[in-house]
Amino acid sequence: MSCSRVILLEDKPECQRTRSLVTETVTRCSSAGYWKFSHVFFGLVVSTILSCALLVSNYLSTENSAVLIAFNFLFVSLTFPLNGSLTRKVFMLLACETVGLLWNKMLSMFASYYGKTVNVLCSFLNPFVNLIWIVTFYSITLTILEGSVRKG
Amino acid sequence: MLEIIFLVLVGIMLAYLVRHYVFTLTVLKNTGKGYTNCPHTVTFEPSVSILIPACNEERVIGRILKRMSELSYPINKFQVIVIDDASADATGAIADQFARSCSRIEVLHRNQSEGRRGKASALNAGLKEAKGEVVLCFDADYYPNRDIVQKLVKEFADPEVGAVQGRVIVLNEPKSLVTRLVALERIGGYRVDQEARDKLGLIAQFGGTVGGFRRDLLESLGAWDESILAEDTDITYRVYLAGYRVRYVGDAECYEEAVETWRAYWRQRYRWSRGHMQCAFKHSWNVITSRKLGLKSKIDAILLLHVYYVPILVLLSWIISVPLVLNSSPWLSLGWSVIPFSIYSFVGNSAPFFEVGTGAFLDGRTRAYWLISLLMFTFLYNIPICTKAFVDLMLSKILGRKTASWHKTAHSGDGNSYIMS
Repeated sequence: MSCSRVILLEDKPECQRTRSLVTETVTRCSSAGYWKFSHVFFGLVVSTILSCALLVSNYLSTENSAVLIAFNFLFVSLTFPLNGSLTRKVFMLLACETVGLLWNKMLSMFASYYGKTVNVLCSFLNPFVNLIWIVTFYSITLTILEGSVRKG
Repeated sequence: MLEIIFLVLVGIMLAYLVRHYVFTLTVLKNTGKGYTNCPHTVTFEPSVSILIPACNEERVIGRILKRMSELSYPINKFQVIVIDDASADATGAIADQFARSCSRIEVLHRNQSEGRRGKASALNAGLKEAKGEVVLCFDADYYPNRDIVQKLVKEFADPEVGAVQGRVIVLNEPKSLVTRLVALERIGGYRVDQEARDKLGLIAQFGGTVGGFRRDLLESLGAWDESILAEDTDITYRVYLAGYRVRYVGDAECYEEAVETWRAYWRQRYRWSRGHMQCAFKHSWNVITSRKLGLKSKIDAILLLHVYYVPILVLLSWIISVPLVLNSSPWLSLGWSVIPFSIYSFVGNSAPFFEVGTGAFLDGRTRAYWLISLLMFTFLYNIPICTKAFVDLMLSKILGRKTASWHKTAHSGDGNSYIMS
C-alpha cells in the first residue's frame, strides 16, 4: 500500500491544471474570461438583421422562422462570448443560417409535394429534424473556435 | 382545452430552457474568477470524518482506501470510516487490511440483519462513529484528488455554509458509449449547472458523494432519511430549509466509475428519478412557505425538485400535439418550435446541449463535442425511466407500500486501469 504505485493524475494544489485520465489534456479554470462584449454586440446586430430579413421575406413558415430566429440569438449569445476570432464566429453564424434555411425549405417542399399525410408526419418530426443541424453546427462551431484559440 | 394544456406544457419547458440559458451565461461571465469565496490567507482545518459506504465493492474499495492514505490533509485531523454494508465478497477483508496498515482508517462491519438497507442507512450507521466537526462522504468507486479535503472543508469557514459539494468527473469515460454520454452529462451538470447555481446564490445540490456537512447540523436535521431513495436531494433541501446553504467547489475534483451499460443506466436513473419525485412530494410545500429562502431560490428549488417530471410532461405534450397537428391549430407552431431547444433540458443532470457544449469548451474537451447530438438518445431513454418511476411511486402511495428496494449500482473496477501504473 505504498504511495508510489499509483498516480497518473496530476493533482498538485498549486496549479489547477489536471491531466485528463481519458484522451485529452484538460485545462480547467482558465484565467481567461469568456465574455467578449464587442463580439456579442456585433453578433446581435448581425442576427437581428438576419432575423428581420427572414421575417420580411416570408421565405419560411412561422414555425420554421421562429426556430431560426431563436437559434440565431441562442447561437450569438452562447458562442460569441467565447475566445476565438470574430470572423470565424460570423462565418459560422451565416453558415448555420444558410443551412437552416435550406434544410427547412427542402423539408417543407418535400412535405407539400407528397401530400397531407407526409405533411403531418413532417410537422411531428420537425423538432427532431431541426435538432440534427442545430446541434451539429453548434458542435462544429465550438471545434472551430477551439482551433482558433489554440492557434492564437 | 387541449391547446391550453399544450401551451402550459410549453411554458414549463420554456421555464427550464430559460433557467439553463441563464446558468450557461452566468458561467461564461464568471469563468476565471475562481471557485472559492474564502480569502486565500484563511487556514481552516477542522477535524473531519470521511464516510465510505461499501456493499460488494471488492473491485474498487482498495483504490479509494489507498487514496485515503495519501490525502494531504493533516493526519491527526481526520478519520476514515468504511461502512461494510453486509458485503458478500471480500470488501470487508480488504478494508480491514487497510485499517491494519493505516491508523486513520476504521471499518464498521454490518451484518445481514443490519445492512443492505440502502446508502442512507449505511451512512447513518457511519455517522454514529464519526468524531469530526465535518462529515464528508465518498462512494467506494470514487477516486479523489489528494488535496480534496482542504478544498472542501475551507468553505465551512463561512458560518452560513452547511454543506459542500465537489466536482465529479467520469474516470472510465472511454469504456463505452454509455460512459461517454454520462461523462457529457456530468460536464453539463457540474461544470455549468452546479457552478452557476452556486454563483447565483440558488440551490447548489449535494450530490450524495464528494461532499459533506457540518456534523452538528447533520445531527440536528436527523441525519439521512432512510425512506427516501434520493437521500442526497432530501438532505440538500433540509439544509436550505434550515437556513444554511450548500457551496459548490468546482476545483475539488473527484473521479467516478460511471455506469457502463444501458441496463445499469436505467437502474441508476430510475432510483434517482423516483427518489427525486419522493423529495418533490416531501418538500414542495415547505419550499413555497419557507421564510429562509428568497424568491429566486424558491423558484429554482421548485424547478430542481420537479426536474424528473419534465420528461413525462414532454411525452404528454407530444401526445397532445397529435390532435392539434391534425386540426392545424394556430397555437401549435410557435409552441412546437420551443421543443428543439428545450429537448435536452430534461435529461439526468438537466443539461441541454448548449450547456454541455459550453462546459466541454471551458474544459477544453474538443472531441467530446461530437457526441453531444447523441444525448438525444439518453433523453428518449429517460422518458420511460421517469414515467415508470412516477407510475410506481403513485402505485406505492395508493397501495400504501413504504419504500422501494435499493438497487445498488455494480462497479466493474475497470476504472483502475486508468489510474494504476
